[in-house]
Amino acid sequence: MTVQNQTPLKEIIKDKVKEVLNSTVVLEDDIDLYKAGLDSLGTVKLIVAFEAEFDIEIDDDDLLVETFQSINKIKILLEEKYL
Amino acid sequence: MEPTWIGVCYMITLSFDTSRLPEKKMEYFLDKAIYLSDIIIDLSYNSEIKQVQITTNAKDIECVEVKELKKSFNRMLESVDTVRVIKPKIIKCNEDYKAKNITQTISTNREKNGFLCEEEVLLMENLDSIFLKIAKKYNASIREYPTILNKENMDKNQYHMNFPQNIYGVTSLPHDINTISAFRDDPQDFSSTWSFEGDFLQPCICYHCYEELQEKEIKSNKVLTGKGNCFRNEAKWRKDQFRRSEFQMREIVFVGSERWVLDTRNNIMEDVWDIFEQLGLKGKISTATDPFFFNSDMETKGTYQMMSNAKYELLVSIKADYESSIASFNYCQDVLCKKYKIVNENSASTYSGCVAFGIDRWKEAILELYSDKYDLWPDILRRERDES
Repeated sequence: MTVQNQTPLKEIIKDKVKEVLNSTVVLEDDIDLYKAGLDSLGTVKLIVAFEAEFDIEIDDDDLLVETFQSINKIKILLEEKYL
Repeated sequence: MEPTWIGVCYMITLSFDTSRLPEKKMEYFLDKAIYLSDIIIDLSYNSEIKQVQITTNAKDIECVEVKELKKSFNRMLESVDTVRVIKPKIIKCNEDYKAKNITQTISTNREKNGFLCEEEVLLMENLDSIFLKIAKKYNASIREYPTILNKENMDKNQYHMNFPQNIYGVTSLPHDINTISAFRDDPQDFSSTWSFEGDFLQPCICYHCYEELQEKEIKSNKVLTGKGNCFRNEAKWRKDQFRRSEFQMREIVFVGSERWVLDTRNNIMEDVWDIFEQLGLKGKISTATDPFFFNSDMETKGTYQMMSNAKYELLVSIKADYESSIASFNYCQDVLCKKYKIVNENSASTYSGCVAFGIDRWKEAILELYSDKYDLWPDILRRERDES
């Protein structure tokens, strides 16, 4: 599927992460999100947010903690497999 | 539906349509549904017609408890619909895999005596001796801990908040002559005389290990092992010889660096699988979650556990559609060490993991497979018996 709106994917991801982290700080693409405060509740919220945003269902096999460790890793997953 | 009089109690069976819930979520839903109400005496699921049947001991279909049960059932159905359930990943399997209906044959009362006979006791000792050898291979120090988990310890680990459905509290009669006399005058009245001070019967062993190490600096990786009777408040109708309220558990707890903890967990898992196969048992190891009590935050913990491969379970297959978890392999990250303030020499939180063996369940699996005939037992068990 294609991204419907014109906002770059990385920005959408960053917005969702900031929303979950309840933070306005600038997030570097490779920063470890778990060290930045992402916890178990936040990880699952992120998954649900991406699935709703892009109308996708992420495969169980892709639901690994490492996959959601940085903005770049999330972007690669979404771009290469779901969008 | 009209209530049926069976023997000395009433039974009403209610049918619930669950077609709105994807099949993938049903097993998860059924695990939670058993805690919906105390009036439940049986629960089964028919995957063909997507219907859950709940048998209750209610006398009247219109009674408050039944109405509450219906409401709670639908509330839980709605909640589970929104939960992100991850299918377990099987990482080892020696059984011929075939798709199983997730119909739970949990109504069969297979509980036997309320005691263990000599053959069972000896078999459990032999099995434990094998588990202890695994622990010693990793230089574990042997411990024996009290049966009671005190309030301070429970407040740290929060087991009672995560799994309130599982635990037994310990009550006592205050040392006060008036209270003691009041109880003796009315020995049926426990509520106004007996008091609960926050102590619990241990649901597992590992929290004692963390308590022993609390606020300590761990200079090198540490392994402890302990065995004891553990207690979980199981629904009467679910009990059988595999699911008991009181059972023996051995745990191996390891505390140290992140990489070492993960490696130790995985290496012990390999050792246990090897023993499992030597014993001729059939089953699998798959990712799992702890049975968190249902609410949205805790469901998240379960999903996260699956995502981080934090928990594996060894499931033994007993019959075509009956399997039981006989060991678990847990990676706790730095969560428990933070709670107990266990640090390394740089004052950073250490990491931990644990492996738990349900000794009674291993014993039952052996007896199901070989009966109590020593001649039929696999070599590894016969060696243990001969050495003991």
